[in-house]
Amino acid sequence: MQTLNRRTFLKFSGIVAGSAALAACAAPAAPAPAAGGEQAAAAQEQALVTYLVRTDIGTGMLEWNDKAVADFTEKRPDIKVEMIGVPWGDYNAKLLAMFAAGTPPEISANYAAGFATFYSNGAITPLDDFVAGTNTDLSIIEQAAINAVTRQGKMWAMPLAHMPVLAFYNKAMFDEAGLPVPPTDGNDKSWNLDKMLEAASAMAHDVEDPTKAAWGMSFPTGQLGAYCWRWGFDPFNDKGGPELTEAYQTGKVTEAFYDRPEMAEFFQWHIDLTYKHGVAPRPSDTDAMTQTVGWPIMSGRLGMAVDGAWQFTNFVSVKPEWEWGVAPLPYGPADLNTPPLFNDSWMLSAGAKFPEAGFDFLKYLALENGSKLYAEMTGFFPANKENYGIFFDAIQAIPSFAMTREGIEEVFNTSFDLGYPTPGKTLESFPEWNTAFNQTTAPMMNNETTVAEGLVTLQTQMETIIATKA
Amino acid sequence: MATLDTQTSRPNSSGERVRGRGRFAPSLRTEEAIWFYIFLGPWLVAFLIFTLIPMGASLVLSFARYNAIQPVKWIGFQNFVLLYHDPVFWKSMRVTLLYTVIFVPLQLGISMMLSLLLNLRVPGMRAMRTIYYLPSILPAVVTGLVWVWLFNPDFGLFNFLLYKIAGIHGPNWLGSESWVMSAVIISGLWGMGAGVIIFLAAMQGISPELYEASELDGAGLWSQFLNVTVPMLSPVILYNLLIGMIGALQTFERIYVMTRGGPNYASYFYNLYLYDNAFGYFKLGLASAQAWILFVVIMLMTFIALRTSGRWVFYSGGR
Repeated sequence: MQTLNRRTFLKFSGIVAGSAALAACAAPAAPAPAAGGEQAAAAQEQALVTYLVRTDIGTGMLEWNDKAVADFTEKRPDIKVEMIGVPWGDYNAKLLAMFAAGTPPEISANYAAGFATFYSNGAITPLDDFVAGTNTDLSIIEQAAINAVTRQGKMWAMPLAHMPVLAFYNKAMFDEAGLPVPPTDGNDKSWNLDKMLEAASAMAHDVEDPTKAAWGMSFPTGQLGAYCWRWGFDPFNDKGGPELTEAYQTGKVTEAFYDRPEMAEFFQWHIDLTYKHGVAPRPSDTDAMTQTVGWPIMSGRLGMAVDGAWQFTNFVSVKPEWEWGVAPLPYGPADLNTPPLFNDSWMLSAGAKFPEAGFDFLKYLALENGSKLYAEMTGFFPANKENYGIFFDAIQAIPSFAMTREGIEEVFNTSFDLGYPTPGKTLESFPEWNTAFNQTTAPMMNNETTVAEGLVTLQTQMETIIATKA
Repeated sequence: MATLDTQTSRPNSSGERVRGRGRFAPSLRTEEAIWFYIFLGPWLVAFLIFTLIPMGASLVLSFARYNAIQPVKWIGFQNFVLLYHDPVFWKSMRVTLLYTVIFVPLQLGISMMLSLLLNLRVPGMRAMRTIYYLPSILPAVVTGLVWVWLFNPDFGLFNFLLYKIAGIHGPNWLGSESWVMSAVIISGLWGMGAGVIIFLAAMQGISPELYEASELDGAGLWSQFLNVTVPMLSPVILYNLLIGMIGALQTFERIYVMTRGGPNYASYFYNLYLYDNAFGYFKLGLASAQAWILFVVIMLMTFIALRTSGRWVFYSGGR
């Protein structure tokens, strides 16, 4: 009789378990070659473009990624595009992990860290040789957007979106308060901070009762306080506006001027909106609304919200029932209206395995049908000038959008004329500056400390980082 | 037909069991050692690949400037010097140690008290035990989001109850430098189910004879708790202390979701700064140095706890 003792049984089990574990660790076997030599050869020649995408950016953007990839691969069967989806918070971590593993994605976007950070860390490849090699015509891309990704005379990324900061408004609340909506011309100086505050005061009510409250406006301080440009100065020079800041050209911050009296005025104005005039939600109210509706104005209880033009994505996704519109930023005390300009650019990784195929995909996304789909589906304003009309059509197709075509065009055109690239897209190591700014200004914005004390803390922290980098 | 035979070896003259199959077969001890390593092999390989080698790599990188993109550049002790002069590093260390010093004793005390209650024989106790354990198996991100809501100064449950019951306008829990640490500690205590279960299991292992004997000696409930329960639980207290301390020093996800370290770094835990340096600022070398400093701190605190444990831990079978 054949016997199986306990020891043999355990040995056998151990071998099976060990083999299974090793097999699980092993690389997957190569796929079986397709029938027919030609098909096998074609499969081998197919370039694989890995494409790192954000998954928490609105339904329109997600659908666009899927549709653009499907459309591109149908046109270019020699290229396979593999999308890797990660949320905003994990985007950098995933990107770095892919670099560390020696398999950087061919294409990624300058979301979390900003273009200058990727540039200064050697993460991206200049596109000039690919542009020249493929006779690519870049004249259809907004020149300001190209300038924003140009360093040392080379273009380091492909702009897909180019967006000013605007003042979105809830027209239904304006109507209810019997107010005219803001103008569409960014050169109209009658639209200023006083006027905005007056309108906000007329719309705000019951702000102490969160169950009934309606607020007139939300007006953050901007990236590193960039909205102070309308006060006629900049945090990183002591001479004037952003055009005099060398750091925005070089990417390197060497000095900061947060502790000056003008900055105190700027912060005090913003804090007073909440704690003196009672027209803006407290940070905790904003957090609560952000958690529930994504962006506070979508709650229908906020008259105006100053934010980047990418917030059209919310209207594209949610399509609110109440009427809404958009205006340029109001003029500030220095009679200036300088909206920060943002660009979303897609980048070709340094060390990518298939750079040519990657560039072809970039071209498709920014210059060909991908860009048309982008303007139509995402709610992001395209950098491709040929598709401006598609974007405006898409926004006008939202039933509650209460503006004329000429009106929204004027808002964008004049804002672009007056704007300046935002620090987040021009400064190297922006996340580090941004963390320091957000951390140290929070007690001021929560009315837990005075502006004077808060700005000393902010200045000290900025100087510490500058010293570290030196 | 195969049957299991459990007796195929016999003892030799020295008492060692040997196989009865041929003279060139390895001794049972050698054979068992071989099989020991074969069984342990997959775990050892995984430990080597996923823990030991990355640890070694991070030690090497702590002496380098590295961003995962460009080649490693050796800079000696510069990362450690940089951290020594970095006020945010010291702030994050202070925040983490303060949290550990307050949170761990609270967690130990409350979980022990809860396990005493859950050890009672009353109807529905099994359900209660499950309920108390449930928070421990929920992802930290989910619980973090729930706590953000509970602590909201305008819409949150805590301030609502404070106002309704006592007419008090509650604090801005997560937005105030003075209150944020309290909020973080309260939210941390919610997930102490694992400690409760371990205490409960240990309590059920205490011999009833000890209580009977102490009762005959005239001990009351409090005296029994101090002189029987606590000494008998002391090995488990030590275990929970070590695990709680290590967990507290490594706090990350909940804070990442709840406060992002704010306001003004008041809840900027060590691991949050480490994460920001590594994945936010592309400073993987500096982050590696931070990781090793934390490792040394944890080792040191564990060593101190173990060295002093001889004075207060009672092992019924001897040390």
